[in-house]
This record gives sequence, C-alpha cells and structure tokens, in this order.
Amino acid sequence: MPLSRRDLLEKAFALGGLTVASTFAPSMLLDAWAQQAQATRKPTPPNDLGPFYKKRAPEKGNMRVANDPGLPLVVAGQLFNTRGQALLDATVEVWQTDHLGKYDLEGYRYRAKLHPDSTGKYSFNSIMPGHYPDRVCQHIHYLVTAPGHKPLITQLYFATDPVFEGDPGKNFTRDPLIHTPELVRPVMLTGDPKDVQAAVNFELVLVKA
Amino acid sequence: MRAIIVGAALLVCSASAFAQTFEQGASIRPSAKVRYAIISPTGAHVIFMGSDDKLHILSLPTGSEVRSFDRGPQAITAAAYSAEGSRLALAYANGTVRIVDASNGNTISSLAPSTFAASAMALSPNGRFVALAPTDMPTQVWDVGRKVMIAKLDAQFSGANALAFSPDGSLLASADGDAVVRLYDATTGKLRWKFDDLLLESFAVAFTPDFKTLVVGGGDRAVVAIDVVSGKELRRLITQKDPVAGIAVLADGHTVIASFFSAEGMSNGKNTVSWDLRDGRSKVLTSGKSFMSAAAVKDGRMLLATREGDGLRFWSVH
Repeated sequence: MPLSRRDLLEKAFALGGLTVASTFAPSMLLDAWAQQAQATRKPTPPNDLGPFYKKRAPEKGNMRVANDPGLPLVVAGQLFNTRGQALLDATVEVWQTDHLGKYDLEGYRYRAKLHPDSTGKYSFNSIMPGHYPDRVCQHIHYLVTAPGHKPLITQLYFATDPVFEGDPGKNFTRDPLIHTPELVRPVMLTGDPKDVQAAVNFELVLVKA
Repeated sequence: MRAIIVGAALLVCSASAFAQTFEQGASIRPSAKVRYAIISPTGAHVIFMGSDDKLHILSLPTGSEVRSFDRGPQAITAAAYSAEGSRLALAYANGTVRIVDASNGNTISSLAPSTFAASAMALSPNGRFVALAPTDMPTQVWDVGRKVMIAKLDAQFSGANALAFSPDGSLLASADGDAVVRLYDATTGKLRWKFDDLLLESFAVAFTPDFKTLVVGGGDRAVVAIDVVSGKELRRLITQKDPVAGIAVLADGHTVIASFFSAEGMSNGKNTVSWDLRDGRSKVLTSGKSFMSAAAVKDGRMLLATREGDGLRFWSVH
C-alpha cells in the first residue's frame, strides 16, 4: 500500500530524517549545527556532475521568485578544508530542476553561483526540486572550487524524498548514483501548515590539491 | 532464438534537398531486449548488449546471430570499435577495460586504468591506443599492447562525455563536462586548443574524414563545426529545441547527422537531423527517433541504428 505524505513525514521524523521546529527560526538551528562541527572534517563525498551544468550562472542567493510553485527551500552550510578551517574564497555553483523535474536549458532558472561570507558560510533560497525523469531521487548539483583545493563535484539529496520511504540510511541505494547516505541530508520543516518551508544544512569539505 | 527481420523494404524519406537518400531498412527483434548497440565500422555487423547480460553479434542486413558471449563479471559502461572493426573495447563498472576480438569476444588485452566506471571511451583507428574517461576524472590514454598509460589529459574539472580519435589517430577530441571541448595530441596529451564558446556540456563529438573539421553538440541544443587547426568556430546549427545526443559525419565529408534527445529525460529520443556543412542547410530525417549508433561504411553510406520496441531499426543515408 502506498504511503501517504503524512505517513512519510512521520516515518522520516521517527528515523531522524526530518526535524519539525515550529518555535525556532531556521537560522538558529543551522547555527547550532555549525557549532557542533568537529575540528577535523571528512571530505564531502563526490558525486556525478551531470547533466546540464551551465556556465556563467547568475551570482545571486535567491533562486526562488514570488509565487514559484513548489515547497520553498533554504539550503545553508559552511565550507571547510579537512583541517576544519573555513574556506573564505570558494565559489559554489548549484543547479537543479524546477518542481516538475525540468532543467532550464535556455535560461538560468534554479541556477546560481555563490560566494561564501567571511566565515565560509553560504546559503540560497530555492524550491524543493522535482524528480528528473531519468533519475530516481530529487537532487541539487554542486560544483565547488577554491584556490589550492581539488574541485568538489557532488549532489545533495533529501531525506524526505518519497523514494526513501522515510529510511534513507537503508534505502539510499534505490538511486544507483547515490553511493553513500552522507549526501542524503535531513530536512527541517518550519512554519504553520499553510506556509511550510523546508531547510537543509549541507556542509562542504574540500581536499587540498 | 534467431533474430527476426521485419520490413526490409526501403522507404525513401528525403532526397532532393541534399542530393542524398535516407532509407529505412531492416528491423531486428532479437531474443533478448537490446540495451544498447554499436554498428561495426564495416557495416557488416551490429553488436548489442542484451537484457540477458550477453553481447550478441549479428550480421547485417540479415540480422542473423553470428555469436554471443558473456559480457564479463561487471556491467559495461562504455564500448567502442576500432576503425577497421576488428577490435572492440569494453569498459566495465569497476573501471577495468577489456580489448576483445570483435569476431569472437576473445580477450586480447585487459587494463585496469581506474576504479571508476568510464563515462566515455574511444579506440584509436589501428586499435593500438584506447582513451577513456573515468567519471568526473581526467581522461587517460593507454597503449593497449604495452599496458601502460601514455597520457593523462588536463581539464579544469570533471571528466569527458564523449571522445573521438582523428581518422589518422594523431588527435584526440574530448567533449568535457565543464562545457569545454578540447583537442589534444593523442599520444602526448599536449593540449592543442580548447573551445570555450558553449554554455552547456557537449555529449557528442566527431571528426570529418579529412579531419579538418570537428563537429560537436550537446546541452546548448546546437551542432557546432570547429576548425581543427585553429580551434575557431566555422558554423553553428540551431534549429532544434532539444539537446544533441549523437553526431556522425558521412564519408562525403560535409554531411553531418545529428540526433537529439529530450531534456526531460536522456533516454527519450527526439529528431535526427541532416546538416550540410557547406551551406548550412538542414533537414529533419526522422521525428522522435534518435540514433543509438552510427557508422560511416566504406561504400559511402552512413548506417544508423535506432531503438524500435525491444529491438533495433536500421537506416541508411547516402
């Protein structure tokens, strides 16, 4: 029997894939996560680049415009090297489908080039991507570059993706391109039922060249 | 079970505009579902990977099975014929490569260049060198006989989506994931030039027979002809709204066949188009059918294979 959206959310919550925080702002929780970070860090696992990376994406942190369909999404994180030092001069390029799973090839919808702040933090506003027909899971592509470090090509996945049926630790291999559950991140839902917003923390750790 | 041939009668679809004929040929429905197929450069055979995890060699145009052999212990991620058709390179999911005798599947050489599956591969015309691109990693060129890597190609990041040796084997073109097309000396890895005037990555690359022109195409939905010597753009075809999946050049040296796929799913084929490099005219050859393999055979024809149900449909352009 297929699980309802409510069933999935409850299962994800029970398994730690989803955090509901109605009384805390997303930024407070994201800061708390960052403070718990370890001094030395494991490199972010790489993942396939393609398809449809596009050069010269606009440098803006807000990919979502008013009345865009889809679940509003905030992704934030911090960039480090493996010694735990923040990377300040990195560039983060992200691209994803719209809520229906379509990439924009003509323009730059849901594409952005980001520069972290003075503490290595980055963030962007978007919508939860749809399911691209040739892939199993919802995902956001990342290309991260920083002087003196190997480029990081990876993808962000979401623990609330229905494909995982609430248990990404067990079911991440349902997408043959996901080789580790580390890239499947918990999703935090905030707001009242009429105005729900998703937030995800995705830390990026680069290896020296 | 022996392959069945259906509809061998020829249908002339387009002739006058390019002084060429586009003909629908045989349909083959083998016993195993076709996952992907490659036409041999001689046009005498087609080899396909079946749902039974075997490689099947069929005679053309009859479609009768010559032989089948096990693919090996791992899934095949890329395959390429040598130019004369005697050798076949098979890249596996564990990063290994086998060079096999294309007539019987016997292993000639085995290489272990990487632990990453190759996303693209090409055999040099004489079969002496193999170029392969482990996913999102620099392309490597290996001497098959000596089993040594002779070149590692530099790219800004990522690996290659498509590779092609020039007909004389001296040059290697690479359509890279960073939306740049690069041309190298094949045996030294020295970069000749890079073509950066694309926004999205290319998925297909092919030389003209005189290797004066390189033709590329991909996410930009354009087919671009580039001068091999200078690396400058010669001409660009922008008539389709879909990304380019495959490119082949006829023996006449000026007719480019390009197939397109839906941006909503790379397995969803779109049109196949003929483009004349001399005057830029183009013509849709098939609607909603992109070719899986193409081979310019010695008699001047271009053979194309498209998916038809679980089998294949062959086409001829001359």
